[in-house]
Amino acid sequence: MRARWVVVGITCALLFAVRSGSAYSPIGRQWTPGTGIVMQLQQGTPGAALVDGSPDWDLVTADALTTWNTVLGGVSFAATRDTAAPPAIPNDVNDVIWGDDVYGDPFGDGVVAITVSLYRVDDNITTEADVIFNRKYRWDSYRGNMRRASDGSALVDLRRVALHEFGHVLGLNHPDDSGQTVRAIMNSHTGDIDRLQQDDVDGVTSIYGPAKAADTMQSRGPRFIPHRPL
Amino acid sequence: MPIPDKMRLFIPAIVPLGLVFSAASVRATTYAPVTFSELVDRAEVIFVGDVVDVRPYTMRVRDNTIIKTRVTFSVSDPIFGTTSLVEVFDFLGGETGGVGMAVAGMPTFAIGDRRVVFARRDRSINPIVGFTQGLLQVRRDDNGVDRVLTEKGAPLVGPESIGAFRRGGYAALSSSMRLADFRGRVAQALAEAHKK
Repeated sequence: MRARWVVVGITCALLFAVRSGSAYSPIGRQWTPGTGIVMQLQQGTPGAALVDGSPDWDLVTADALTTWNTVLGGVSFAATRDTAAPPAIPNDVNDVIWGDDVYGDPFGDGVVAITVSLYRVDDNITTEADVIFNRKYRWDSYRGNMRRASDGSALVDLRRVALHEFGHVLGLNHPDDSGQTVRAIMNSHTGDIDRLQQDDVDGVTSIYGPAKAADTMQSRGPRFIPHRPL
Repeated sequence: MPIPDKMRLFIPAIVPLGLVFSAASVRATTYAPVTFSELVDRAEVIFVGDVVDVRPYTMRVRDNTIIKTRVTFSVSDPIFGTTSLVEVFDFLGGETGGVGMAVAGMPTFAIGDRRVVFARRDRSINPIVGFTQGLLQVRRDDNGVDRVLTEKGAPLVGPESIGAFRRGGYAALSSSMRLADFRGRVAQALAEAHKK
């Protein structure tokens, strides 16, 4: 009987080790606790109706911010819209934009979107983060498995890519890049996962703490704050 | 068939472990990876080299101030597209003057790193083909054999596994492909692509 309990104990230890080894991947940088991370949405209106009926791109990305807010504690996202403001870095504004390049340099091979963050080296506090979506791809907004455009090219879902990039803004890295096999929106390649997974939530919880019911914006919908002059 | 008493001892362990390992093998996501032949085909330069200098610098572009890192490789084995003793590439991101600029997923380098590099010459935020897939670590095992791993340190069983779904968890270094064998496969792929 005693030997059986030893086996159970070893099993539990193994389970813990496996679970510990298969988890989110924090970058090691974060926003100051209590920060309201204001993202300036600048993607404007699509040329044609989006699959999910969203009237414009900024409402798609605002919805992604709201989704993150439902699981965030300690910090929260807010959104402002100004399609005319010139994006720049550094400018103390967290720009969310379409781009043909990344501040003058072409996107690398196969890059769909990118998050460029500025941080203080001495304490690893993030001070600015811009998200740039590569305009050369075919974009839409839809749920479910990845789709293809009529010409056979990939039809990239802005919402899931925005969820992924905003995870980088918060301080999450790619778990699959560090040898993990987990279901996560934060994995390095866009796929059929279209919403936050438990691993993603565990990741931000490890950085900022658990969400409190009163802090979440689930019932409030997208929150736009008045435009902040540059 | 009756289960021996000694085996019964392990029943409490087998069931939960089986559940965990079946869950861990669920495919995480789907994507269009860069295949080995695409890697060879898209690369303008392929070499094995050691990182001898890593130098961050700031640069003004339009109204922006960006930080880049210039990485210098000492080329020990020029495989394709180079006869130089050194190759120099710039990557977006780095730390200088107390400020850091980071791009998630961007490869990082330290002096002494040994790498197989598949790169493009045209200017971009990251010259590596496939962002990180065209950058492979080279490590020497206990028997003095150089072996090839992915940029993040996962053993590369064969070139076909470049960009393929990563099962997670890192196997032993000895399971990685030998550098000499990998180099042979690159030469073969170059010949097939008529690049040499």
